Amino acid sequence: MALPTDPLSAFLFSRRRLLATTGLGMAAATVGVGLPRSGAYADTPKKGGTLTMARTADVVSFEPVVPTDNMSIWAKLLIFQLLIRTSPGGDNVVPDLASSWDVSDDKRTYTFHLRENAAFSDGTPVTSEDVEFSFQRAIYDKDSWAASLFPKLSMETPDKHTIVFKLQQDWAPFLAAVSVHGACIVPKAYFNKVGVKTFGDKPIGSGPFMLTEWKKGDSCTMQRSPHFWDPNRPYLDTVVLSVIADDNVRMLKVQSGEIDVGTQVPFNQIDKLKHVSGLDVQVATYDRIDWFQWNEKLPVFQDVKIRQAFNYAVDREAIIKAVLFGYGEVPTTFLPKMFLADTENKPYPYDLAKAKQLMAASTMPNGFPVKCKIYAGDTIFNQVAQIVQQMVLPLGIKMSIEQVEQDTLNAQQASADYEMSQGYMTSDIFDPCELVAFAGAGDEGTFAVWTYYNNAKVNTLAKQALGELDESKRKQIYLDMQRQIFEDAPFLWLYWTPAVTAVRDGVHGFAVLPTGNYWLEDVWKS
Amino acid sequence: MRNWPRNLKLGVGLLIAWILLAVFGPMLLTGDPTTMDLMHSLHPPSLAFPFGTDNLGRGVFTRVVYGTRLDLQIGLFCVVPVFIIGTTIGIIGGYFGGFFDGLSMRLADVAVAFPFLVAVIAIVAVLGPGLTNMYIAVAVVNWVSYARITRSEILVVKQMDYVQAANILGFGNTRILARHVLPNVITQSLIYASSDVILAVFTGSSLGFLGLGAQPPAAEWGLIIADGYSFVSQAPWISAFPGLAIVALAVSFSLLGDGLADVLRPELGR
Repeated sequence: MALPTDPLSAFLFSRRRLLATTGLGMAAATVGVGLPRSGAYADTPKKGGTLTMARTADVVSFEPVVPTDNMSIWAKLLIFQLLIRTSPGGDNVVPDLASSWDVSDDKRTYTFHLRENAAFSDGTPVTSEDVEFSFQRAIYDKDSWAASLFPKLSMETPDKHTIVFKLQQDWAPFLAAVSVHGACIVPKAYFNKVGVKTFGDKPIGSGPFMLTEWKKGDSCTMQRSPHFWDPNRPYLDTVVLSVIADDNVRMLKVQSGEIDVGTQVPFNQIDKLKHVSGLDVQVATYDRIDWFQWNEKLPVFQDVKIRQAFNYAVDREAIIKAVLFGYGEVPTTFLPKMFLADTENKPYPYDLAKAKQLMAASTMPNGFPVKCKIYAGDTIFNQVAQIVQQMVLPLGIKMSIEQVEQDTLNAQQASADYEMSQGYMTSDIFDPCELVAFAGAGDEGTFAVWTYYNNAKVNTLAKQALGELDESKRKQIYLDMQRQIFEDAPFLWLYWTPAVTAVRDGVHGFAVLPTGNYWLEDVWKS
Repeated sequence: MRNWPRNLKLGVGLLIAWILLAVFGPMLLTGDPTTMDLMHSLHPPSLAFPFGTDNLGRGVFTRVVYGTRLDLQIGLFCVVPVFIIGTTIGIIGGYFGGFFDGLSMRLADVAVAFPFLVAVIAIVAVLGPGLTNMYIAVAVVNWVSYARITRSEILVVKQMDYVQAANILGFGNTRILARHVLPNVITQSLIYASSDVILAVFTGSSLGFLGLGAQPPAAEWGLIIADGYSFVSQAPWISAFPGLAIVALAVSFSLLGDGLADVLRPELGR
């Protein structure tokens, strides 16, 4: 989800689902995403049926560029196509609307070849003009946060099924940028006819499904698009994304078979649900990291020793065991466990003696009070905050917890109106450049997620990595940058969590991708 | 006292028991309500943990006992100031009428135009979460009930012969109000207050549940219920016991209110 360059929108909505998770797990590993076509499997995909999927919140809008909340993003990716999309392995891109692409030797010219039989759900063919229009919006629209992912460039459409991007500077993560969800392809003529507002409610795309009914706050119903480029897929007739915010209710309904897929299984119920017959609990890694952050506009948090002391004083293993019931990992970098993430590094160990030493040598040797804001109703962070509160007490840090309504807290973060608060991020693309700009570089729009952490060395490396076309050099740059950030400790990193999803037995081919979304054109029901 | 109706005796008795529990209960316990013990989380009720432990290994019994203090305090702080303010406004408005009366009753209309809980939540959302702000929010909304009750009583009482007589005898307003009117109008408010305490505790617990009242890790019953909610299928004891405590406290106050009504307003008696 979300990545924010626009101060509010990004951070803001993305976090609607904090608890979250969904995924694949062992089952998933074998199933993979393209499952149905493996002939060895006795069952062949069956056409027809309705898949009911329960999620924690409703879509905000189907407008492609603006919404940054995960529910909107993951839903819109069912009805729109991207030119190319993140591979299920999370380290590359695979074809979507573009069946193939060529890259010039100097990596300044990218030519994408569109599927000639691709059409929007109203039957109009997808042309390069639609693609150009969609990218214009994704890159240049004033409401688009994705602009910073792209270099200076120009677009050309030599024919109806070809689009050429001419970059004016070296840009290593260009393919990853093209796969960002904001750049999904919309029909230019229809969009211009109805306008942004209507389009957000009544979208038309070239994806496998088309929106047929949207009961706001309740459910989105999608039917198979009759004009999808692949005549054999999708297999499902109908997909219903229903909103069931209450964890207990969502899990009861998937157990009773009332819904087919229950997303975001609460961690405390995973082990129990694994033993429920007729249900498969998929645990999938996805690109997510959770933390507490500090406002470095306050002098006390400008002291790196204090930030490090926090990181040494918190026993993450204990938190993962107590709150996540073991379903989490201790981070070794500021990024999620993703492509180019520094997973070789050592995490901050739990070392209270070291933390006390750092505190004693800091500007506040006797400790200080700090107010920590968390989202009201976030049961996971509610627990984590209470545990951290107790763990930092030996340092003389008196942490008080304040629960704040979600949108309010997001706005407060964006205006630096906080001392300490919870936060998290997930990635929309496989390349880390998006999250580096979001949470690492201090000179970008979000000022490192409004921590106002600002290390010139990090900023320089971040810029350098964008233009570095040599892959191994680029990897090294990101490695150096991550080590630097990790040492500077601008966040109190907590854990990497998986996506956990409960899936009924009759559902085949469902998997949560590293970007948190799901392709449903390969899913079928027996 | 011997003539007290049974429900009043029981109500007073239970209330005294609650107060004793709130004052002395925590002193008798060895545990701390906020210290966690992650090694002993989600233990079912046992001898060591009579109400079991919660997800962070805190004894639910200890937390519920400490919660008595906080929830009684909520009941007290939500009702007493409101009682005083509302009754005063009602007396002055009802007795003297005029501009003040008109103004206060129009304000009352505004305050009750919103459902009680909605108004309280809205005010707390603006002021920021926490108990103090909750008391303020409740005061802003809830004085209306007392003002209206008192005012309507006073409108009747001030027409009574004895008040007219006092007037003709030339007694001052203060004396008439304090000696003759107040004792006759206050009972209704008192009875209402005793049941209002229950609503206040409910409000406090609801806001705690929503994250707007007491803040974690405070031991407040609503908060404990909220903590246990995610674990309700695994560890129902976390939410069940504070829930029972709320019910028990509510029964105590409702007996008290009933009993007071029987004694002070025998004409309402059954």
